[in-house]
Amino acid sequence: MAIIELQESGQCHPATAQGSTSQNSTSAEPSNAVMRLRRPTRARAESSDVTALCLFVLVVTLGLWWQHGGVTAIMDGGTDRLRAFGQLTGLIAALASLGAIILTARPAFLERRYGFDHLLAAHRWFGITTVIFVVAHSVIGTLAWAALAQMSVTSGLVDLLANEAWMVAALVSTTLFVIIGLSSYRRIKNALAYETWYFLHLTGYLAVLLGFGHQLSLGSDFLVDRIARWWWIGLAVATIVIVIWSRIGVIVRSLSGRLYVTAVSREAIGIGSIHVNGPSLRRMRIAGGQFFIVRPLVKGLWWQAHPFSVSAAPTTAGIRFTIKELGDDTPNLLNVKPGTRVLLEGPYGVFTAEQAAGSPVVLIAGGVGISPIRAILEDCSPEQQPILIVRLHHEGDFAHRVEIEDLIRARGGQLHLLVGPREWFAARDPFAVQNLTTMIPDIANRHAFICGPASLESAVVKGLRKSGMQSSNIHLERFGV
Amino acid sequence: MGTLARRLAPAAALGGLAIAIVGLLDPALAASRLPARDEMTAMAPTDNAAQQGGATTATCDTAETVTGPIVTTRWGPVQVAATIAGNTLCEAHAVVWPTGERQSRQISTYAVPELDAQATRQGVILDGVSGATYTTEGYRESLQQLVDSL
Repeated sequence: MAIIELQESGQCHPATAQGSTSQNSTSAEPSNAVMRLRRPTRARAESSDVTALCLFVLVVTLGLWWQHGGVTAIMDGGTDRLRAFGQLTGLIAALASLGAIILTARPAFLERRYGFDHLLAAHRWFGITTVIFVVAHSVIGTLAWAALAQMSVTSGLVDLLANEAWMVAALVSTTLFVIIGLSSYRRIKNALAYETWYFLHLTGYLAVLLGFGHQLSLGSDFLVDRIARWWWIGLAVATIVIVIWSRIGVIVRSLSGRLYVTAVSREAIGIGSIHVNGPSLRRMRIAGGQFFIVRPLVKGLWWQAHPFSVSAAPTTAGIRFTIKELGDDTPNLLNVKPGTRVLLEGPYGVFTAEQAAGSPVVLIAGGVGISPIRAILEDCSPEQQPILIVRLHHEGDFAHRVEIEDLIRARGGQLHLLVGPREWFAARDPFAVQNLTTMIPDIANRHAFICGPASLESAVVKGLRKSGMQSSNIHLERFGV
Repeated sequence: MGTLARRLAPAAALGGLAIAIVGLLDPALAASRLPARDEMTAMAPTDNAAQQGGATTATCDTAETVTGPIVTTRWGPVQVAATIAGNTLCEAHAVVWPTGERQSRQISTYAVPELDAQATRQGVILDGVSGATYTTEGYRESLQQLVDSL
């Protein structure tokens, strides 16, 4: 699990503008040995594969519960009904918690299909499901125990904790899940430093682990039926393998890649670029629009992870990340000395030109969102007749301007600038249907790539939908879901 | 580093507290688990088939079967019968076990054969079956009284 810094501005990611004064012209056509890095391979898993796998796990697990008499007990009523409901909620909570862990581990087979942002969005729903069902399971399970033993609820609870193996662990697990859930509630989360929240969230692994004991020692589905027991242990082992492979493997690979900072350049006020290279770079497959989680391995910075978009097509000469000083820690990143080792995790994201599959595109950027949009533009061909719409407060904010105008010219594309203060934006909606169709006459045939503040993204999506663009043709990357 | 320590502290405290609570209080880990079992250990050091070694097999051929009392547990009655040859417990098996409702029937299917095997192997000081705490206690109790009555 790596740290994703969520910016208060809600932008795609905090990678941002590069000034037009860059000496490192990585966008130049390859001269000698400088070659474009290969693009990522296509996702192997289809959505239907993933759905089928999830359904299989759910059907087998609930099928075992059914076969053990769960459904009959609910039909029959009595105290057995309460117990059967307790088992059902417990099974769902456990499956949801394993799913949440797998999603946040972002294994390649899922990430290449759905993108990191969608996996995190799904993780959130799996997590919410886990907390709700864990609490329901705890309450129903205690009631069922007390009812069967003909005890009061309090003495039933005391009895469970004092006499049954792994029940104290289960209660601690429930408490951890509730704390993790509450700390992720937006108001509380915003009040915490990002890493404080993140480290608290890591105790989720402990919560899942502590909850596992009572499933095997008290869960009658897994006590009696040997096949069910091995199925359950198998699910847990598979999860552990995926987590280790995806989370620890990626760090080991990055460390062994010996990547380091080759240069840091100040581009404009508050904006700079970090250039990274190293022996393993040639083996990487990266597309424009993707991002890495970057950790410079220096004191005070190594434990902070920042998602940064690649701001130019990556070549064997290096990758360029352009950074705007947003968070409290970002300025330090621009003070790292050349030669500093960096840990790169990625590339992540499916916000790439590949999504358009060669169709004509419209690229829409707001402010700092120009960075990944610029890299996507570089991956577009002249046949895609790129139309670029850039929304800015001041014309001077237009980062990458010279590079972008060159790229647009080389592809026979068009550039529309929407410059004006926020009030202007509010008074005259530049993304109203008539404005969009004026700028993009063949709007229904195009794919759209959008990166900018959340308010801009939602205004653009609304305008594009009203103008007749299919939602499957609209691509955007959302962090802070 | 000061910042890291500050941001790590709440999670570390929470995780440490969680592990400490489980380690100290959970019956699965706590040293003081199953006090009933300690009493048994003190009360009944006798009649352990495993300790008798090969000498038991000969006498077990002429062993008599003794039945313990019915012990009522939370989930239902438990009664143990054992074959005893002199001072040696040759074999033990439950003759009555909880069958009240679905859960008990499921647990018993799993736990009773295991308890029988343990009792035959270990005597009164049997390990017990997790998830069948009450049946285990009832089983021990019935077997203990059976041994005491000899």
